[in-house]
Amino acid sequence: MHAHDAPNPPEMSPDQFREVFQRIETSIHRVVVGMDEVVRGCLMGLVAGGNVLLEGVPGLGKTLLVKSIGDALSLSFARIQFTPDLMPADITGTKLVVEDEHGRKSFQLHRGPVFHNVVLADEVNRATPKTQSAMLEAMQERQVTILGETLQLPRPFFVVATQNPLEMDGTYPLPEAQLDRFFFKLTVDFPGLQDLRTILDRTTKREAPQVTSACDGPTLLAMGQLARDVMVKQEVVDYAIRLVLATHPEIDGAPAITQQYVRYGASPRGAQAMLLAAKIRALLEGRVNASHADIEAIARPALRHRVILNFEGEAEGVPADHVVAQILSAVRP
Amino acid sequence: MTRDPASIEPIARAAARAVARWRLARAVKAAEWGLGLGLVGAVLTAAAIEMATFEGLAWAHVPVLASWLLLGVVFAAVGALRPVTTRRAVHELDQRAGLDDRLGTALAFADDESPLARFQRADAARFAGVDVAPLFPLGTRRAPLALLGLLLLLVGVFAAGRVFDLGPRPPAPVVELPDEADDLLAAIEAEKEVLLARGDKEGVRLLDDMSKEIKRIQVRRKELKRRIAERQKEAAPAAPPPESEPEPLPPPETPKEDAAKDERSDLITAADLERLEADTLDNVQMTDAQMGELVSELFTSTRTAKAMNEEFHHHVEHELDAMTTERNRNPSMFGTKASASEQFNDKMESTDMLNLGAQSDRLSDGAGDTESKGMDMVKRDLSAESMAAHDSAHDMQHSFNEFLQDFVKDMQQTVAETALGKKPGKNAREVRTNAGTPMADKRNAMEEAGFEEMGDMKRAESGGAPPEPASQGSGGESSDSAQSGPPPDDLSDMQLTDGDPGDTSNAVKADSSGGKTSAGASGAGSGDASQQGRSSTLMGLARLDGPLDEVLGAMGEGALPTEERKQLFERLARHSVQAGLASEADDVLLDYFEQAEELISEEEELSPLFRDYATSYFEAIRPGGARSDARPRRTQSTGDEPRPVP
Repeated sequence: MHAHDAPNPPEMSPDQFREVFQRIETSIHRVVVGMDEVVRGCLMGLVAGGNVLLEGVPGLGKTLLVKSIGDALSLSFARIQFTPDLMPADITGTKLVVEDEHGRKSFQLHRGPVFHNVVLADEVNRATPKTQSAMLEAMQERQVTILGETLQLPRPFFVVATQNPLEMDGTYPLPEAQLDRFFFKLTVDFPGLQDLRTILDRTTKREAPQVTSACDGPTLLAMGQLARDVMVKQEVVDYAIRLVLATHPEIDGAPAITQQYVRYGASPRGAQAMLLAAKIRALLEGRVNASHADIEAIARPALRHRVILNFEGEAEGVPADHVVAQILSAVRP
Repeated sequence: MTRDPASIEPIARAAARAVARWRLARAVKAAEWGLGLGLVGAVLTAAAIEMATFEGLAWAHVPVLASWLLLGVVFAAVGALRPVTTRRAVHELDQRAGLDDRLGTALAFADDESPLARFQRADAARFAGVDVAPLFPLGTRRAPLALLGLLLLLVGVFAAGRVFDLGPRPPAPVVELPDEADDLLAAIEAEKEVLLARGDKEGVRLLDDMSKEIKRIQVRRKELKRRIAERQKEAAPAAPPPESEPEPLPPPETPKEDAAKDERSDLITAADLERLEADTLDNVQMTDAQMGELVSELFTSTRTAKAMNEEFHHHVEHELDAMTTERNRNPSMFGTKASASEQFNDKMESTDMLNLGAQSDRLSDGAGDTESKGMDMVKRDLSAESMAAHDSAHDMQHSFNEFLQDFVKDMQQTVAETALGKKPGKNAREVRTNAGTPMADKRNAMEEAGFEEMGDMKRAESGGAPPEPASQGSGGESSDSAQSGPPPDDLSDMQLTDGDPGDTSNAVKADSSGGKTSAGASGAGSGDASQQGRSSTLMGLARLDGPLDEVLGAMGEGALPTEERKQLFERLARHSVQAGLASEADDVLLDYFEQAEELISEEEELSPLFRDYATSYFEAIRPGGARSDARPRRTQSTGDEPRPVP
């Protein structure tokens, strides 16, 4: 039985939410060393029903992270290595002519790797825009159409896309509209000394640690439902809105750095992502109300890929995180 | 009964406490700001009072400085009355206490009875008992230190202002103003040229009046500045005076009382300035002595002119002699003796009044009696050409004498009008009393007397008898006496004679009744006595000392030496400044000098000799402009006279 066949999620208390979430994190960290923020961000995106874009150089454990998430959640996992010759059908699947035992031929649906709960789109920027579009459409619509037949993707459906910020030759950078579809953009940094020691210690022995299942799909869906019930007072909502508005240089009262370096600001999806992530963070903090601090804490991963720098910003190499940080300083709770 | 853990009441109470505390904290903070600004304002006010006023800080300023502190009360009231909403106060409480919007969310969802809302309220209620006092502190921690520092600064400024005199020296606003008069005068001159080019005489006259007024003001300012400088110099070593309220303006005091007061205070206040002005206006008037100084200066100048005329006449005689010699060498070039003699005598009648005595001397010198004069004239045997040159010289001399007469007349009128200050009528009467008779009348009487003498001389030349028996001596006696005596004194001697001032004609007649000519009698007989009497009178009237003695001692000796003249004019300018005499007198003098110089320069027919003498004359009597080498020579008759002792 696939996870997408799970029944309605059970009711969950805030304490249970936090317990399950921490259990998942602990399970993942048995394999993945460090990357606390990345792991938490991925799980928040997973609970919120969003998708995450991981950016980091090869060899930092991105694939291992995503595979560990799938293992920890007892969800099906598929990895798609994006290459320039990758076709949309390679992602979504296709119908093949199949001859049965009686010699009759018929079309049989062959599901692509997208029909898994957790999909790793590795180096998504190496595929052609056509293929990227097919993948991103599946991410957004949670369904694919194969030869006129529309098929729902499994629930929960979680895509983690990665891209290498260094090797940009021969790549097809994701357009802004496609970037906006990601719930979070997480940056995988190079591990520190202690993390490297731990990595070496774990991976150079006879037996490698294994990820244990900590949660199933229905529980994950229940967590998502609970997260959406978290109360947010209007001031906090307004704060998220003001932050999003502050990323738009054409808006009156935009911070100076926005007016200087930003070509286009975050879409409403940015505010949605911030609010949902703030709710999840509140639950993780033992509260059932989102606060201004929650918004501030998740503003960077939620907005950094939604702030489109202008030529000046690109030329000067201004990091998007710096722009978001300045906006946070300018827009007070 | 158990309390509902999800009740909103504890949260509402916490919100109420936050509102009250926050309002109080804002009021205190506003009060701190108000006090701070008030203290800064008080410090600045104290510094301004100390630095910008003459009196400096006084205890009377304490209420003014303390009133600045009311700013704290005003600010506190504003801070307390500013509206504080519960929602905003709870938000502040959540932020300051780090409650992650628990209380605010609970209040926002107070009506929500869902399990999650109840769970949230119960969660928020756990933090509702938070102590709001440390979260809303009353005032800032450093505010008391800052306020104390400002208060100490204020006290320090006040104390320093009381102990030290940090303010400016008492200014003299009138004299400290930038002197823009020169620029204004230059502008007026430029405008005058424009108006002159247009032919606007009325405009030029108005500009002249304006220039005179400006010059007068300049003189006043200069005098005030000098007096203030003297006061400050005198008061400099004096100890600082005790604190006292400004006294009302006292009545005008004598200079000695002012000096005594200066010793008590080294500060010249506004009241001092007012007193100085009143003092100057009331006390520094043109006294009779000072009036006499000015008149004597005029007469000295006139005497100088007379001496110069004598010199001129002497040179004319030399020229005539030279011509006579030439005529003897070449008789055909000259006319008959009789016509020349008549022409000469006719011209003699038109000689100047001021050189009346000199003319008579010369006439006597040339013709002691009718026959001898006729013989001299025959001897000279003047030709028509030499007589024409003689006539031309006499015409020029005559015009010059007329100019001098006008000059003296106008100067006397100016003195009479301007030197008398506030009471022109009364002072004018006094001056006239001191001088004997009104100057114009005196001059007219002198002219009449001169004409009589001239007529007598003419008749003597033609063999007739004098019409008046007052000239008791014969013509020969008159001739001899006049030949040896000094030239007759001029109008000044007659005016300032100590004799009967009421009857000028009698005085003139008395002069001419001594068996001699009037010129001889006046010069040798009463000349020294009258001069000494005049000097003693002036010294008796004068309340001056120092260089004035020397100046007065130089009177009657002809032209004043440059230094003495300068001192005299400075005296006059200084002591008559309030009456506006000096400037106006200077203006008149300068105007006449300019006119005279212009006349001399434009008169092409003037001989170089005359032009030189005239120029020397004006340079000699110009106030402050004389050259030592240009002084006219003193007459021999007065050069050895002793100076009067006061």
